[in-house]
Amino acid sequence: MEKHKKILEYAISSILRRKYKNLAIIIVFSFMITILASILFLTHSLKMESLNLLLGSPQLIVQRVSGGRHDLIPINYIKRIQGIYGAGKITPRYWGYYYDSATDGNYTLMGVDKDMQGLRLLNGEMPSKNGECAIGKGVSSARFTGIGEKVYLIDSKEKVLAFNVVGVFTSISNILTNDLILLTKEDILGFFGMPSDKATDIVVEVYNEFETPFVASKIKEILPDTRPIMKSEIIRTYDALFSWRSGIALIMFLGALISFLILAWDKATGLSADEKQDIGILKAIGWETSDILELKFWEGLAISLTSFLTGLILAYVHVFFLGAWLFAPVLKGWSVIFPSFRFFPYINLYQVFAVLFLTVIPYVASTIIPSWKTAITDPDTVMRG
Amino acid sequence: MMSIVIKTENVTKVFNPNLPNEVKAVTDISIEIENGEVVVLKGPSGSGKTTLLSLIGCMSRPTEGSIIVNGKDVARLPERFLTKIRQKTFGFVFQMFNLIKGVNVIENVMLPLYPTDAKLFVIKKRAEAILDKLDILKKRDFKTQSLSAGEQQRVAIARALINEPEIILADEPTAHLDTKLSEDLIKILRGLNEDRKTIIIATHDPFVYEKAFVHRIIEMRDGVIKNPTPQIIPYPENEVWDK
Ligand SMILES: Nc1ncnc2c1ncn2[C@@H]1O[C@H](COP(=O)(O)OP(=O)(O)OP(=O)(O)O)[C@@H](O)[C@H]1O
Ligand SMILES: [Mg+2]
Repeated sequence: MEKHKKILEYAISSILRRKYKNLAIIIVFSFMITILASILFLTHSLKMESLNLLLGSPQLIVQRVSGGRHDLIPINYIKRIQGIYGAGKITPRYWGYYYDSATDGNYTLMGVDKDMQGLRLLNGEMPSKNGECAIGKGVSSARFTGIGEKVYLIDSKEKVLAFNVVGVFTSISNILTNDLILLTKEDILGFFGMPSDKATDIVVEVYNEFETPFVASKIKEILPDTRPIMKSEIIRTYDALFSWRSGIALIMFLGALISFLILAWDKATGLSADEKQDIGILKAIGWETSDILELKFWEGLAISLTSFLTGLILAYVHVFFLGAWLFAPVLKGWSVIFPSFRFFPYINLYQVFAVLFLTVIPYVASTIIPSWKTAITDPDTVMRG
Repeated sequence: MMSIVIKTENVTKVFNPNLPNEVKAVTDISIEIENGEVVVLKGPSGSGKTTLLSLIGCMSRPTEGSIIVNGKDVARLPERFLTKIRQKTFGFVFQMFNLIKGVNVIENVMLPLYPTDAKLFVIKKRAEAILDKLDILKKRDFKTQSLSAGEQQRVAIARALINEPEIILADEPTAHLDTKLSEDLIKILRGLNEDRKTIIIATHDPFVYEKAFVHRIIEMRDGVIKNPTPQIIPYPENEVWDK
């Protein structure tokens, strides 16, 4: 016990003795771990967010297409769909995108629906009267507004309208409600200048999930100018999106890994003359090979754990507080859709351990192995250089 | 009662065997050293003094022959046993001092006892006592590279003594010292010998080997012993040493 304590103390003092070199290693190493952990935090968080989004999305959405573009859908289509076997509850949705030049963000404006899935109010209530609204956290922070205050929006006739904020949303997923502004149905129709006999799209519930493709093709048959979108299709789109994103992530990940391996290789192939000399001296004055290995183990562990923790904390701050700004080019598409989006800090412990194993262990090994080679050589030979 | 502590039998050390740069550093060396003896290995540069000292001190292994330390043949022992013997038996004062740069004096002296179960404060006490005896305690917190050669020499000696070795191996101990410091060093070595330590000194400095406390001189040249029957100088019991 005493012995290990003394070796540990000497290891710490050895690190401090070569403080510039070790500081440089810690900086480079921490930076690499920051990148690596940021990628993992980010992809995991995005995955979790979209998973939540999908869980809350309806089985089947029917849009109208005219001239190859999404158009408003007549309400009376509902009756035609109701006749289809397997179709359940059918609800029209009233919504649209709103570009806010002041905050350079796109918001989703939506008419209230009594049973909106997946949404929970953090504060306040749903809009029940015209002139009221509930907003997502993203909107609330971008506009510096909250319950009891007002949100000003410019409608389709260039008129500035004020809405009283009666609720601010929260939900498991930020993506779902972050950019949302909920108004009454009448306000939405007025705001976008929509005719009252039309909706943006229609949500169709299907009793039996497996019948969804059948119901979808039936709708297409009866109403040739519509486009039914199935949840499974959305999932596929998301999958594609994510495999593209994780593809980029993978490349960066491999880049970081390769640079790390180069560093490790560099360490494995060469100890500095001074370090070799020191090992030779310690051996000569009675340190055993195992004592040298213990010393180097503590040194490597102290440096790599310091870097690991620093990198992890920096990655956490970077992704969850600074919105992963280092990856801004990759995430550009994302941030236009979701203004002032804060990634929800989902942490996967498995990933944290993966980073630990990918960095600390190779580093410790790359410290120990060359020292071991030196330590088993006759001290006389080592000290002569 | 005298007993043999070191015995080498036909020891040969070849560096880089079977390579173009092969060097036969020592050839067929057979010597015996008794407990409490002061022996000088004398010879010109490159004659193999350091190599032989390293072999005796278990810092390297002979290519041929055997080396017996306290009755045990160490030539073929695995490395970890050699470490144990180094730690328990020898105190080595290197030609180049080999102190660890950037580490202060006291810690350099304490280092040999770090991988033992001795308490840190006990080791520190002992190191201080030795440094005091060698009159260098006032430099205890200095980094070794800021010391003069003579001071570094004494730190190296202190480090060699911390594990209370029975045999002290000193390689060219006066190489970096002026006459005054050499004188001090001789005094230190003589004192150690009075404590019944066996001392083996490699040197070509007459200032050392002409001193009366040296019992025996083994002359080397080109890796072999020049005086086949080593001359024995009687122990100078009644001699009055120059101060
Ligand atoms: N590790 C080594 N590799 C190759 N040659 C070596 C090695 N160690 C020693 N030698 C050679 O062995 C011979 C004896 O060297 P050694 O250092 O023992 O001599 P020395 O008597 O101590 O000399 P000096 O008085 O200069 O210290 C020299 O020719 C030296 O170059
Ligand atoms: Mg020499």
